[in-house]
Amino acid sequence: MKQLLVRSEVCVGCKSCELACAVAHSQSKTLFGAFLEPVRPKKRVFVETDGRINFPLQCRQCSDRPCVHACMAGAMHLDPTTGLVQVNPEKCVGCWMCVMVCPFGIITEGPSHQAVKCDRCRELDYEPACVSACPTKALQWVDVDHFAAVGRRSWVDHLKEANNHA
Amino acid sequence: MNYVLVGNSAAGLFAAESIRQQDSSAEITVLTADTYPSYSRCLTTYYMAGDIPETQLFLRSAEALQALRLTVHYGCSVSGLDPTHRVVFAASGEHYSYDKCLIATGASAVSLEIPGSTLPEVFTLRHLDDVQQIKAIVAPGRQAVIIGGGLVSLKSAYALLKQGLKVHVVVSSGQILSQMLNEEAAKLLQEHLVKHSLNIVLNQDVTAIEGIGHVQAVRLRSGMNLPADLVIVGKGVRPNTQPFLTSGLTIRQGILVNEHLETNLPDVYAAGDVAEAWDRLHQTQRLNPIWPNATTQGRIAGANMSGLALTYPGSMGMNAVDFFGLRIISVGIVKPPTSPPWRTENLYLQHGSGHPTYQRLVWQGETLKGFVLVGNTERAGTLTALIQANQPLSEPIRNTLRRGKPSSVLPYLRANVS
Ligand SMILES: Cc1cc2nc3c(=O)[nH]c(=O)nc-3n(C[C@H](O)[C@H](O)[C@H](O)COP(=O)(O)OP(=O)(O)OC[C@H]3O[C@@H](n4cnc5c(N)ncnc54)[C@H](O)[C@@H]3O)c2cc1C
Ligand code: SF4
Ligand code: SF4
Repeated sequence: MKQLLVRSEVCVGCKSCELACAVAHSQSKTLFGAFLEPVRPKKRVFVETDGRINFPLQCRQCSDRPCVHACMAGAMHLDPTTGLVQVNPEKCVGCWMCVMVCPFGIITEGPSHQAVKCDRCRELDYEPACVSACPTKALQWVDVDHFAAVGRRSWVDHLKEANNHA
Repeated sequence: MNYVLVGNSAAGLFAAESIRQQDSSAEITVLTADTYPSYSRCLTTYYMAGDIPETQLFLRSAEALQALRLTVHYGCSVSGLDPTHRVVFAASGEHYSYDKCLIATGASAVSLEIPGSTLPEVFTLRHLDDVQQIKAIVAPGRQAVIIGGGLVSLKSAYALLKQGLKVHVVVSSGQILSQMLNEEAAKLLQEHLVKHSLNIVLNQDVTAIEGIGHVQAVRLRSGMNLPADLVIVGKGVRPNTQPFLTSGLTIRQGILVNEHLETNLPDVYAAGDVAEAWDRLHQTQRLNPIWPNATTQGRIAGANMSGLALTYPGSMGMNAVDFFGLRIISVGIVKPPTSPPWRTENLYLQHGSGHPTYQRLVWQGETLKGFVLVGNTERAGTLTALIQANQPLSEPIRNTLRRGKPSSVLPYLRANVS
């Protein structure tokens, strides 16, 4: 199993990941096509900055999965085949309970009043477009055993890890 | 190992999944008074509104349920528990032995004892059957009175408005959603609901429901009558502890559980609306009857029943609503004491969308204890996580939050945790 490793200390804030993400979640999967689509594709990664430090935010697949527990519709779930937290758009009612608890604040609203978040590029066979687009390798898609500890981490662990890299 | 779970709603289902994950050979028996596979009570008003079909209420697909290999006894009303012989009794006379037992019987709607409350069109809303009965008599142009201004009441009001009814909500206090919102936020929501034709009557009590054979009107303390074809009573919920009162369980309002969600009886656990579990903000065991707490407790209880030793991090009050496009999220303490070190910061913005945008932060010293967001609720979870972290926040973080930019604090936080 692979996981996203985020090394925010090398992020330069160029937002290439944001663009690549929107394109990857468009109908056409091309930059120009994406701009022409009637419903603008939504990016699912957000680069936040305080002017000095940049921080790419996307679903971090939290160990305690607060979004899955908060979801009153069974839409936010653990996909048994991939082990990833995913949204089932057919079940989502747009109640925003998940938004209330996602510590990274990365769940947004899709075109038909549904929760949308990073799905690790399911439609690209789980080869995340943001990773390919990142020029500084701040985003990497690595085998889980590259991580020191077990695969999933909590919010605080993520922040601590970011710190250790800095 | 033989597990008996009482209840197949939020807490029961998440417990069953968690047990199955730990223990593939477990025998899991589920006893439930419900006659349906696990469904979401929270979505019943969406169904009533016509926003979703009935099939969307069910939490898991038939295949997913099958993969759990549960033995479910539907329509099975549990009447007692004997901790010495480790059995659970059902009202039908059956009994079920357990090695580990989970009580996840949830809560029931509180009914109203006033003249006329037994008329056929007076309802509470807790079960799918309640909604089926209400649905059968709703028709555009009819009038409904909802007693109480809490979440279930307003969600019901929304559903009936969407079905074309004329709806009145009668609230005994001076604001709607008094548990979830401070007065200013409640006012913003009230204005929005009134624009969508809801009639809200504050500071008023219903003294009787009138009608011969059928509901015709609701009488208020003021002497006024509101015409009504149906009445929904939303006066809160009470934990379903009744079957266990003589079992030796420690029960206050709910069943008391420790940080592992164990009750005082060996191998008996409790989770969800029926349990009084640790509340991280009030620093005591407390009822917190909301969905996320029930599922989280169910998962942790299930894991602990099957041999792990997970600690429940604690509940807190929180909720998210979306009425006709106006979104509100409220978490933690929203009505703090008025004296220091407690402090609130309120920010009003006019949003492009036409909806009001409002943010309230509640501080105890430099520690965030609660918030309310109206209009723009994006990134609310970052604030929730900051409350859960329960640590004083640095000035740059506090300033960033004050400006209404929760996600921009993450870069700062990096430097804050160690
Ligand atoms: C209309 C409505 C809207 C809501 N909206 C929200 C919302 O927006 N956000 C939110 O957080 N929460 C909401 N809630 C609350 C939420 O539904 C509950 O917190 C949640 O269902 C609690 O789950 P539970 O498993 O503890 O208990 P319950 O859902 O109450 O289920 C109890 C289970 O125990 C079984 N049972 C009870 N007694 C017995 C017995 N004697 N023998 C056998 N089985 C028994 C029942 O059949 C059922 O399966 C809403 C509730 C309602 C009714
Ligand atoms: S809480 Fe947010 S970051 Fe964590 S798994 Fe859910 S969506 Fe992903
Ligand atoms: S918005 Fe959708 S995914 Fe999020 S909690 Fe509500 S139903 Fe679940």
